[in-house]
Amino acid sequence: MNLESRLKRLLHSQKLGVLATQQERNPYTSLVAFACSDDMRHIVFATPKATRKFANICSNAGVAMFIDNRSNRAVDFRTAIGVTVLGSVRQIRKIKNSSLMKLYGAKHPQLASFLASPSCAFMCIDVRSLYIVERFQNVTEIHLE
Amino acid sequence: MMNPILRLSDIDKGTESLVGGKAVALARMATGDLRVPPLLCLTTDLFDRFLDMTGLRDDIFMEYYRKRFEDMRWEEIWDLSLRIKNMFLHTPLPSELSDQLHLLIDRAFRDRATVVRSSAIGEDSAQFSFAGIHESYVNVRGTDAILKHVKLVWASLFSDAAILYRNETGLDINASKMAVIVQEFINGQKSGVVFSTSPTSDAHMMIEAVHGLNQGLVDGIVEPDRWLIGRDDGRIWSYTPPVTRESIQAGSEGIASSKLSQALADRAPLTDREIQGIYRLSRSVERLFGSPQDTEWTYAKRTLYCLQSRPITTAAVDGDSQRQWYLSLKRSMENLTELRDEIEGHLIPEMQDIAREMEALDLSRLTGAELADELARRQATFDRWRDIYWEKFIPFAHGVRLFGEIYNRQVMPDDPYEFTQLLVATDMQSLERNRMLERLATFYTTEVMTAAHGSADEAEANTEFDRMLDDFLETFRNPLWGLDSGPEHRDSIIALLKQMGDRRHKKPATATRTRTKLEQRFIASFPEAEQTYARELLDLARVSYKLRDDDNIYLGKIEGQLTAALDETKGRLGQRLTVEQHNLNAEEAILLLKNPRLRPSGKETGQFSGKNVTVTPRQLLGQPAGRGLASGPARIIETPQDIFAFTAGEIIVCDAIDPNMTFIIPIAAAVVERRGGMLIHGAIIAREYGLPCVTGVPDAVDLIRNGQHIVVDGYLGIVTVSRDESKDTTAPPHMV
Repeated sequence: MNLESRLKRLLHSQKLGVLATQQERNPYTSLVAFACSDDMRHIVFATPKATRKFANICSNAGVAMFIDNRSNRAVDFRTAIGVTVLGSVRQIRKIKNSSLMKLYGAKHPQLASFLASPSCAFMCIDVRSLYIVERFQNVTEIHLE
Repeated sequence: MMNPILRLSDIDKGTESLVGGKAVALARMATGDLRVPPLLCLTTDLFDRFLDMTGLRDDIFMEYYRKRFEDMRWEEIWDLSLRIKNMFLHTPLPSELSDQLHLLIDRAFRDRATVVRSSAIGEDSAQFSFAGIHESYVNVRGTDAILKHVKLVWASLFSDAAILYRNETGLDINASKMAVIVQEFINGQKSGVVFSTSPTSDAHMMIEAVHGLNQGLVDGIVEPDRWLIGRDDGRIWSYTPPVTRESIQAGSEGIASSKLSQALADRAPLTDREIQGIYRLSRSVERLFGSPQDTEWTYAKRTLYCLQSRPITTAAVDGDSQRQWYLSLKRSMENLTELRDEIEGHLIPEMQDIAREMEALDLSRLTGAELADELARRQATFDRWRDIYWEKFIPFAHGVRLFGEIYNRQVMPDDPYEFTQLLVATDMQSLERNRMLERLATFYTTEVMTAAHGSADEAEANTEFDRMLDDFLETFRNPLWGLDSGPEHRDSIIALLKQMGDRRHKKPATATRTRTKLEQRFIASFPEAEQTYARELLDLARVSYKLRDDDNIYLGKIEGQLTAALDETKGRLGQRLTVEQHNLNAEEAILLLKNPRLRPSGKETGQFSGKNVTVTPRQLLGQPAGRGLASGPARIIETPQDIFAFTAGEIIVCDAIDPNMTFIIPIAAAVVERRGGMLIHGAIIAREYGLPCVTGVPDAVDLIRNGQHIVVDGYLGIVTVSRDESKDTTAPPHMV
């Protein structure tokens, strides 16, 4: 399986990723349910607006998200894949009929009512780069223009 | 609750997950009134406990998954296996386990000799025959020695053959477990194997027998006498004697091949009465298990012992020719000695003659049609010798591996590759060529360049230099790697020599004293009676090591003559070729020579789909093959021209270091190679010169660009590629 296939498999199979945001000099991380477009250029997630991560995003759109498939076993050191996604995040306000919304709904049907709440924001990371780590120390970068 | 050891009487079908199929089969035969030597079985519980208590399981998987299996060459699998075996040998049994085992093994065997056999889960089942895959050790005496060999049998779960076999059969290495049988050793006078149904005929059974022990027979070293017997009536249908009778006998420890007395060499090992005994044994075993069986037996005096039995499996999973070839590399010392004679006595002289004969032909005088014929002839010659190389030379290189395995077992060094220090010979062709180049470089920079312009000294120095260069090219001429005597080649060589002279190049780090000490330690690790064997093995390994380098040079000379014909063709095709098409092969060149209107086709590349996507490596993981850390610009070496574009201090990045191109290594900062393995030329020569080296980096030449700044970490096996090609702030100073 080539790198592209391994990466797609990871991004489609994992439900949760760690989102890193920042306000001034204070970094912050949170676990979010995400979905990824097939071309890997967009990653979407939902968040209540009254959260620290949302506040951070509002002041600094630059974010990173870490997604991996570790299983907390020794073989993870060699078999787990982790990807750090870098990009800037924006809120999608018109979610009706949005293809990204459909993608997210299909992956996380149990979050439908969460997402429908007026207090929830649907966010999209426009991906700039992906840093993939495999087999402990093998690192490949993908840059999207 | 843990069951570290079970006795024969404790073993039944219900304990198979603890003791493996081989032990269960032995227990069934013992209860079926067949004579089985007494045994203990060290269970898979003990194996698991050892791995978990010591943390070895995590270390093994860290090593095992370092590289994707599909990216590994067989040499890398052997390396992986060697490293894991060394981990087992270096991990002591926790005292809690060791005390218990000492007590039970002492009580069962005291000073009696034993056989330490594998009994992996799934081994000897109806689906999978692991015949010859896992290790067994014969004639092991004393509890400490038994426990050391138990660890070696555990390690054989990760032998190269076992890794390949599991991969082919889809067995999960994570779920693989190994029980070990410690069985009283029966020093039989005649031994063999009986197939209750012959592989060639359902109506017959087949008996194979040898004088002495059956290890030589099952390892394929000793040819047996063979009888085909009627399954129903026990009547002998045919008898085939071997060409020569040889024998394996017990030594003071282990086993060794032994010359038979003339009386025994002239006599079949079995009498008719003994054949009937084995016939009855085989029928009983088949009845007991309800399926055709392959049973190992031995006669000690007049008593017939059953040593092990397994179902006869289909050959379906054994069909992979590559694996068969690989397993065939496991040669005995006798077989390697024969190969050595053939290679040194016949094959290398023939290769030299052929290269000389081709070199004498003036290609420029040939017509187009004649050149096409000559190209075809040279391609066929090269193909034939490349086949011989695979068939004879590579198996002979197993001499190094055989020595490495035995050295590590005897000496148990911290560094599993310490044995290579004993092998470096001073008379290798490539080292001699490199030494000559160094002398030329020194002469050029100290005599030619420093002589006053227009002086008599300058003329004298130039004449002497020309003579030395002519001598060098006469000995090491090879158009394949640009070592040719044409004026443009001479200029390139001189430019390279100037760089070699300017830079205080490294000397090979061969410490004779260390080598002598290691040699003494290795020889002393054997009992006195076996030290001659140890010396012969070392001698064979040294020749094997030297030849695996030299044979490439001789094959390179033949390939060089093919290249010379290709170069002549390219010269004649001239403008019909674009720059990319200059890599054309002989077949394409012949077509172009014969069809003046034909245009060659180009190549396609590319992998990641999508527009505006850049895939760049940041850290590439390989195998640490030469310790050290270095950074510098990458130089991709794919053609001879690349070699002569090489600048001192650059890092060689190539598909595979060929002995024909190692002369630039002394001026390189480090080596990165796609081809993996610790015994490959790149790794060997980089270690000799003390250069950081990382091998087995998949797609290294595709992912790294010429001039890109890279950091080579030869301790961890990591190559880091800088984003900024002009400098890299994360990189250490040039060499640390």
